[in-house]
Amino acid sequence: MKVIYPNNISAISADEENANFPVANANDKHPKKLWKATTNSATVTLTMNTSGGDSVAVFNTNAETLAVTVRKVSNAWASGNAWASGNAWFTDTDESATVVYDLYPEGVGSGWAEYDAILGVHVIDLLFTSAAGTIVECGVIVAGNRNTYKDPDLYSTEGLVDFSIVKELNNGAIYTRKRDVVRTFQFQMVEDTDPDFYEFMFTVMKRLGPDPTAWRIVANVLTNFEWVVYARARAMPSGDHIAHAHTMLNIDLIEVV
Amino acid sequence: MLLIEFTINGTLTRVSQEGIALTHYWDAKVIEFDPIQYKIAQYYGGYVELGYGSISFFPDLFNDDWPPPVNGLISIYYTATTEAAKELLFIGTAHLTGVDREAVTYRLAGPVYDETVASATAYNNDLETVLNGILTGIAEIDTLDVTYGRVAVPNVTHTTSGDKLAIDLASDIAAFYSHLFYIVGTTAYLVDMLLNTGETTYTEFDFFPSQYDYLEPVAVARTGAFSQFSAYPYGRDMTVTQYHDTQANAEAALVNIMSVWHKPRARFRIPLLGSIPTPGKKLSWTDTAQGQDTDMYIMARSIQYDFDNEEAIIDGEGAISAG
Repeated sequence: MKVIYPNNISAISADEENANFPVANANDKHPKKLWKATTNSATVTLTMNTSGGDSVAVFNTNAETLAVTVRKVSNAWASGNAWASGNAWFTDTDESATVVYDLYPEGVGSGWAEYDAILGVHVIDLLFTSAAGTIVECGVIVAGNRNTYKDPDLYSTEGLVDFSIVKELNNGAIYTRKRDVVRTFQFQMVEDTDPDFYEFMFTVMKRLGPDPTAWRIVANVLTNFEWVVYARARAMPSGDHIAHAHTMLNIDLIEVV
Repeated sequence: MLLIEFTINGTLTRVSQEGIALTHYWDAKVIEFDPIQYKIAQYYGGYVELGYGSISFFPDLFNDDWPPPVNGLISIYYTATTEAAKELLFIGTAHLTGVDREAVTYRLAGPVYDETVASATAYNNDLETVLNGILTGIAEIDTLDVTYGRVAVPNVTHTTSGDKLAIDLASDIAAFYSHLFYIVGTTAYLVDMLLNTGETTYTEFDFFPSQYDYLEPVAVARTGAFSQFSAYPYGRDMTVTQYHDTQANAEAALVNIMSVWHKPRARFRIPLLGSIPTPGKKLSWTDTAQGQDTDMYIMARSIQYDFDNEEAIIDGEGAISAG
């Protein structure tokens, strides 16, 4: 299991945006509150704060591919300084790397990308591309530090909660108005009490509280995006100290829309 | 879908109950919204007034405007499809009534029709002309739409005694002649209680279990020196203000009033789908859930739009027969 926390985006911009659906909508806590471009291909640029990051996740997007480019920030030459003779520029060939993710096969509207950690200000360009003739959009983007734990044990539970309206009509038929149906996950895993359990409880959940963030619930075996979900804790997690140095962590998540 | 435009300190804010991306994004900031309701003054006619209660918002709607403003302009719309197709339900002012940790609550206040008609004002003209004069004398009303008025427009003869609120006087006169009127924006719509503004037929896949009832009958209806007796001598007495001096005209009005009063009534519940019904609309259906199949129609009089429960509850009189 992986969790992105904290979210270290300090600024967000886009090369295209519908004025009624600005890119700032992708940097809030509501996946239904969309950023919309004006064509089927547009780039969102994230500026990460000094805490840096190593992961980025997107939710509620209709993009079929997501090209992620991570680059360090270029610094301007401070005025008044002179180039000392005998020195040469150092070229960092790893400054800019692009990886393209195919979001289409799962059709779940989510994506997750990882890169080597950069411990400082850097920039992430996200090129979203949806089907021809559509307008590309995205609900939420989370980028920051990846916290990695063991994957859930067997017998974890995954389900759905339906917020639709269902009523009986006069003849016994059913009237329905479909509203949001969200995913739920209940699972356990055994972690080292220290540091993993305490890090999860204190560094992540105690600070996060009821707020949502990006989760990759199963990360080590299953690598597709069905397990990437924007969720919050339906109940705060708990731990059973089952052995001298091991704790059974109980987690209950519900998807946020 | 309920769409609400709320002006907070001069800035237009679009909110809804569930977060809806249409032409604009209508943010999910409404916690609770009391049903709004058209309520007719009398069962036999008069002013169908739009009543409204309170609306509660999530406190974070006011993060940039804390503390929440004391009041603000508010417009409430309904649409089943697109933003362009939204229908105006209410426009007025929201006045702050309470703030707590979980909600910011405003009470809705609509236009106040406070113009009065002076004592000893004499009317002697047809109903539509009289009502037009009274209603357009109210600053917030520009037009009286008489599309659905009675074909043979009755005459009004009346001299007021004491000052009266114009809206109340218009309501009483309309009711005496078995008409209703309701107001949307700056237009008042006059509807003959004996006619309808168009018919919609519902199948049993279109409505929820409904109920049927009758009013206590009227034994005698009186106005001034005139009266009319019904076929129900055990019923109640009714007295209404007289708005015509001639016996035949007054008694014809009483006959119509009792005719409307004695019709079977229904409280008809439908999902909020498509265009929402307005007063005067004829709704007809067959109910096979009763002891025997039952055909029914009503004309919409009082209408409650319950957006929290996704249904409209329509009350009115009509006719019932074996299906």
